[in-house]
Amino acid sequence: MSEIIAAIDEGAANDFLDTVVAGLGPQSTSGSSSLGPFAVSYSVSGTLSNGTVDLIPPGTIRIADLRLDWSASATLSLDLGDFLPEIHIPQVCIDIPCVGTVCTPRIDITWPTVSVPVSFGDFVRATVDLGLSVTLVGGVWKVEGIVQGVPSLAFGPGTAAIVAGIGLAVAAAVAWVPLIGPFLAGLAIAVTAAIGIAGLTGWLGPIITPFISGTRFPVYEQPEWFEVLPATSAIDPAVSVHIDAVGAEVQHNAPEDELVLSADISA
Amino acid sequence: MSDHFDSRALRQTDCYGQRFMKPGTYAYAIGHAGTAALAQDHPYVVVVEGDSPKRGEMAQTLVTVHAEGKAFVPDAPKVTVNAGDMVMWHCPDPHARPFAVSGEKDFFSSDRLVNESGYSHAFTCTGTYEWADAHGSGAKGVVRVSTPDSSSDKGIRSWQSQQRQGVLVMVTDGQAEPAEVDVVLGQTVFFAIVAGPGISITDTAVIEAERPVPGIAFYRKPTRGKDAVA
Repeated sequence: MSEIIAAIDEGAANDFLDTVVAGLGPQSTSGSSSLGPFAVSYSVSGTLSNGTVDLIPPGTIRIADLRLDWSASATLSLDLGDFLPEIHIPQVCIDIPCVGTVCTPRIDITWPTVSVPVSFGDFVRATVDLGLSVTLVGGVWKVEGIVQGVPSLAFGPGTAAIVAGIGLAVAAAVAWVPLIGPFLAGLAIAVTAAIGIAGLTGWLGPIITPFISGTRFPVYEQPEWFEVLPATSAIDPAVSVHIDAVGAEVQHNAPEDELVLSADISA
Repeated sequence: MSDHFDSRALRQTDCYGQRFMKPGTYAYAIGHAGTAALAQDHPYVVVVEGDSPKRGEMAQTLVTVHAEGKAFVPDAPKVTVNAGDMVMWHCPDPHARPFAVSGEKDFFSSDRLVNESGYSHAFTCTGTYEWADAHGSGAKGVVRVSTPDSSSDKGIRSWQSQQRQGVLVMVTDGQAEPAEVDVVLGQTVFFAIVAGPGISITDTAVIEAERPVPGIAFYRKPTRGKDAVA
């Protein structure tokens, strides 16, 4: 029988993890990859907010609807020639009175490669299972909940709007390109189709999944030497106990499940 | 987006045409816009043969200019034409820097267009463009470029047909006729200089940009017109 036992029920665990998740702060990453047919450099940040905690004996804390609010800034490298037809300004012949006919040459238009900055954001939800981990590191006992496995992210309905928004952003960003005016609407459609919702989620998923998978939620932290009575004078020193072992598990103590921490101590 | 055009600085969408009325050999250089007139070497030639030109029987020779490193090189260093024919210069490279054609003879320069010369520009951006002679002759005009109807096949075909129809503006002693023209995107305007002291066809936005900035000592001063500097 452990000398010290502490337990919290699911309600308290919810409140507790609210605080823990809020304390994790934003996470960010950056890099370069491909989004559909585009080369893209990006920076993405995300902030977690707690979902609903379900304690599952013997060792699982399940958080349903864990929410990740994310925002991304990306620069797409877009070769307009991949999307737009080859065009040219035709030869033009003009009759000049009393002189004759003068003709200009045909002019081939080369579509440029452009960089288009886009910013967008949304949220995803995921249900994650935390496994309990107890470690003694550097004289400190740590109990953590660690996300197990790779969660499946549920993208919100705003993802389609993001794809459409990227198409419009591209169209707006290339408005300076000579002769592109009549092609802008078609370009937006082409870009949107080329990326697609699956393309966006397929690109974004691997980037933001690490914000959740492997995340360690601190549950309890305590130095192995635990002062129970402070020193009162030179001849009456502080009294400490040593925490020999710490245990963490989820127990079913009718009528509810509890997260139970236990400690063995010695003087 | 705006389409800043300037006959003194030829780009992919521009052409410079010069008609040669008298037999002879006319040497010229091709250089960066603004400095071509300072060229001491004129390595290329237009040889003009035959007698006086026949009215209405003008032939045309196209000289394609290529940017090679810092230099501009014509596809043929020597062209031979008959008196009264026109030679037209054009650089198809969209990445080439603006250039100018500068002959040894005063009449032969894209920087200052005189009698029997011309400048064409294909407008690739919509908008209203005011142009003027940057050398101050007072010649000026307006080109309005509209968006074509690209919402239907019929509209696109109509647009493509319009692009094949050039618009002529004739400039005579500082007067453009017509002074204002309406075109669609991609359409070409040919400015024919019938008579003049040596003018440019320059977007007024470009002229504005060339106005002196306080503290900057060197700038191009107009030598003619109301803003002329003695």
